[in-house]
Amino acid sequence: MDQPSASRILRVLNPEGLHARAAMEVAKLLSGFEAKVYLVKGGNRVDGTDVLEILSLGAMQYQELIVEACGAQAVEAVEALAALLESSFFDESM
Amino acid sequence: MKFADFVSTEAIQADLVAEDKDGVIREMVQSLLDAGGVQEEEFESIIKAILKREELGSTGIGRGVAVPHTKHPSVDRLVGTVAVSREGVDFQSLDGEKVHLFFLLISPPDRPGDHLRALENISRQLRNDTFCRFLKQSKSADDIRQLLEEADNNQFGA
Repeated sequence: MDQPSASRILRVLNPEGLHARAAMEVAKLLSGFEAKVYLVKGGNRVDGTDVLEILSLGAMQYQELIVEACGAQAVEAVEALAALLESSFFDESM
Repeated sequence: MKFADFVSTEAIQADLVAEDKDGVIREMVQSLLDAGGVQEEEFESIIKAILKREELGSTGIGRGVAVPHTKHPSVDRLVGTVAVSREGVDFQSLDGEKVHLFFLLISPPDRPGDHLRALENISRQLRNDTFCRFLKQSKSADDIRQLLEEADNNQFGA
């Protein structure tokens, strides 16, 4: 049987983009799901649970990321990431 | 953004003496001070700010890499340095591994974009295993300077 999959275009709302602490929060969040999650930006497709890889996207405020997930909790993982990115988390600090 | 745009080459260290987080940060900021990258009267204030940022969560991002950083009003452009620890240092990293490669960044409070672009460049290069391995094996500051230059010239395909 095929694994569930989900994808969505998300916008980074953090004024300072996906900086180190934000990237860590994303990685921590996505590690908690039974799903393989990738973030895609400008031809780069990276593992959403790896901080170094997330930072390599250099995602700034208002830039779009495509999130692609597959696995038992693919839908839940994408939902949770959307909620986190839209909450403009860690906006006052790096 | 390239390494040459923010790394103070005179401050690069190939063999850190410090064995703990506070010591590494102090040693790296000291080398920036010696290289003229930061002002003497701001030395303690910069160290305090970097340590305060670490309290919010370690900048040990895994794979033996840490990116201690802070914003500080005393700098008018992004300044940074690179250091290698042969023994590795417990930096309370995400993956629990000791840190061997350090990239320290100090940025003006109003330039978050430059900070992000520097992090982007550092992490893109570090995704390349060859660059990572050569950096860890560097025997001198000159070795590191040459590696960063090669990375800036896209010789590692990042």
